[in-house]
Amino acid sequence: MAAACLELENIHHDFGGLLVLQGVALTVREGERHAIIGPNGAGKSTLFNIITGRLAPRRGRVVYRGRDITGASPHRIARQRVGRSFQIINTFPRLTVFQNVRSAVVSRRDRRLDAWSLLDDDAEITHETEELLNLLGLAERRDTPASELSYGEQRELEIALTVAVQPELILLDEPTAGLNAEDSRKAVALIRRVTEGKTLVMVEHDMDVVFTLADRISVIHYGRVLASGVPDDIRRNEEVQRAYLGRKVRAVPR
Amino acid sequence: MTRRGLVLTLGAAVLYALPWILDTVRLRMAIEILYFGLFAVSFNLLFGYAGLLSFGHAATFGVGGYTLGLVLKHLHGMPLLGAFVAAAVAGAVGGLVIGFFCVRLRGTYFALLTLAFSQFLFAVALKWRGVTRGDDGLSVVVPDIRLPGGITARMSDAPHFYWLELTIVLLCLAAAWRFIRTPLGNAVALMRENDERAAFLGYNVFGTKLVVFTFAATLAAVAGALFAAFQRLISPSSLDLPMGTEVVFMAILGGTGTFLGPFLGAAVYILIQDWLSKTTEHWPFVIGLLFVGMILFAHQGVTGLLGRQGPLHRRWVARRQPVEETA
Amino acid sequence: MLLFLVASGLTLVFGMMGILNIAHAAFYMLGAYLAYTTVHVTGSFWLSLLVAPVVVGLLGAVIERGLLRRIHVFGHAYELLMTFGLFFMIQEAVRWIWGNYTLQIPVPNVLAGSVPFVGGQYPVYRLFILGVSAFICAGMALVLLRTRIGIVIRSAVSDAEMVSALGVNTPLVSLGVFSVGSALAAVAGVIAAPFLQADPAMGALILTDAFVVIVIGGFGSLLGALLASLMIGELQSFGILWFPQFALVFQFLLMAGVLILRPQGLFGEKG
Repeated sequence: MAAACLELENIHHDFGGLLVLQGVALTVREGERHAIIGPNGAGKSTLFNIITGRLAPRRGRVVYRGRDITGASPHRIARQRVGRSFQIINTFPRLTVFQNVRSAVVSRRDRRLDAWSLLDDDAEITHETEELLNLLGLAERRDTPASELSYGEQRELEIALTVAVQPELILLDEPTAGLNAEDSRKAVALIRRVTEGKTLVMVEHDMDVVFTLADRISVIHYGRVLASGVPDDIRRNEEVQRAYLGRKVRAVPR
Repeated sequence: MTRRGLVLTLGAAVLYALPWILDTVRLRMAIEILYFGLFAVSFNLLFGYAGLLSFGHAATFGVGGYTLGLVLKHLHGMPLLGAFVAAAVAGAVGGLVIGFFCVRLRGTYFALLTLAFSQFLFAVALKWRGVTRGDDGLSVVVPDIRLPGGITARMSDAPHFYWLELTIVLLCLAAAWRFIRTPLGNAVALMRENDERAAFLGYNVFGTKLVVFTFAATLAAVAGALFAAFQRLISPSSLDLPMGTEVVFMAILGGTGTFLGPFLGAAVYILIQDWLSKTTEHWPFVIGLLFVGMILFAHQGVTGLLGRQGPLHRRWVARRQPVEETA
Repeated sequence: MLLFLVASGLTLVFGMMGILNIAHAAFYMLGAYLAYTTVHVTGSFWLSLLVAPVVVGLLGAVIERGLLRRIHVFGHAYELLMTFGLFFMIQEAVRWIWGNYTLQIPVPNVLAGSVPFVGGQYPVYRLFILGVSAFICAGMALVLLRTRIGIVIRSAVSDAEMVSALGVNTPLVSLGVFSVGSALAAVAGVIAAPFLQADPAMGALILTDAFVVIVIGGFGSLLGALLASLMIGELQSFGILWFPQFALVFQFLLMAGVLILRPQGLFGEKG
């Protein structure tokens, strides 16, 4: 059995009295592609925010590769090779695609505090950035400001920013939200490519995407983990069917 | 030499030659433009590049001025350059302390806290008569500089002062220009665009903002020291709200989207103010009207206007932008 | 209590629109000078209590609709800068029109003199100030807590988007709140005029005091503004008595302290 990459222990969280997560416990193994599904408002994004340090849970622990990262600040978690994408496009709007991705590359190379060398002249960083752009199919839009990209391209940039820091653990928050079928398929292929050999935790509404990509699935319902296991088990699980899959499920845009 | 290098060298040569071209009155204006220009550029490091609007930028401007004055007064035999270094250090320390508290806030809160600090320092300068001579101001005695070869640069001589000042300002501008092109300098722009994403990419938002705040404060302190050395007087008004807001005017007027925009703004502001005050006694109103008008119709400042209309200017201006235009 | 009148309008506008309206202090100044003119032209102080708020309220409406709304897209920083520019412009316009010196406004006869009060003579006019402030404070509380408009305003202050989604005409509410806030500043100016005189620096002086008050009281909170103005008022009286050197310094330290430790102030909402 592969080692545990990410462990959530008894996570409780509320927003001013509104209970959002109750005793969520989850284990994600190294190299696994794990999908978290559940109806809107079930607490999935909150869970993501807790894992990535945007929020500190009221109770419970987040353990990443054996280290307690509960409530640690986002930048420290990011430096431990945890990458996260956002449900609502979260790029650097007025910077070009190139500049966007480059900022991630600079971080990966630990050159954030470099106050001496000229960034534009750095051949290695430029090269790595361009390679990433090629990998993600964004090379042609290199000099376009992020805010001027099409929605599909912005989603690609989102993913680009997430993987450019070469994370070992990748967290994708509804990566195919709002994409049409064609773009969705491209995104899935992209995700599969960039998460090769890495651990992926993904929140998704699109069941096709989930069952295509995921090795294991956890279902969150009313702030609790209803079931967790391989896709076939989840499909057959009666409770899950009743609570979630049994009803008509559409990819609900947030 | 590259074409850009040639242009810069020619430009520098012209600047150094100004004392032979301009009369004394205009030279004095050029001196003012130089230190206010530096002040405005340092303000824009915070506003245009980091997205932080500070109403209290006069804080370290005044600190620099007072440090120069006090050092020259109490440390006999201190060379002038040493006093400038002291002013810069004081500015850095001030920036570090003030920035430590301010930088974790944003928007209006940030603006108000910077204001509170600068008003606090203003009150201190006003009341601590023993040290600062309060409202009367501290007179600054500027020693001459002994250069090798037996030449003495007399600071009371406008051209000599101008050359010293020009050198200092050019060095500061070069340092700032370089800074924004480094990874750390670029990180500042990231904070402005989306500091949350920057954090999730591993950037220490607080630390980065603190560094740029301190750097901007240091440059402001140098500008303040130049101000004090030229005026031969430093008073609490250097720390007060009017000074803090004038620099904002200058930066907006010139354009916050480019590196040198604020410098141009300082020049335009000083020239306009000079002309206006001779034309009408109600010139402050006109300045206010101009400011409001600029925000309404040309919030990218003069450089923004030039950029839209003149392709040559656009190239000149665009060369100096390490990141996309700020709005 | 005068401080409360000024700060209340300011804090309401901030809570409602997220803008710190620096021009608010200029409205206060304008109110005082308009009072001077009204008194001079008509001889009636009471008329100025009507004229000034109406004129300034209209001015506020024009500013909100014509200027602030247009530059809203540029972002908060430019809104703040605009209100600052307007403060400066209005202040200078006042100095131009009325001259750059202090103008005296006589206290209306009925309010002149003093009465015996708590072991000393207390000027009637100060009681009047207290009275009007209390009346307006009570009036605001009544409107905000009991009327439908009040509920709409309070909800808009806490969550403008939600209220808009519920079908409320939020631009109209913004316009209204801004106008009323400006009018309130003018009323404060009118009332201050006989007491403090119409002075070219009165805008700048009240500005920093008002900032301190709303920072401490919390942005958007009337109760906070009330408590904080009382606090600052006391501080200033005692400060001047006991630590004349430090009164000014202490005020800004307090403001800085609040911003550092509890940016939302006593009653403000976070963020």
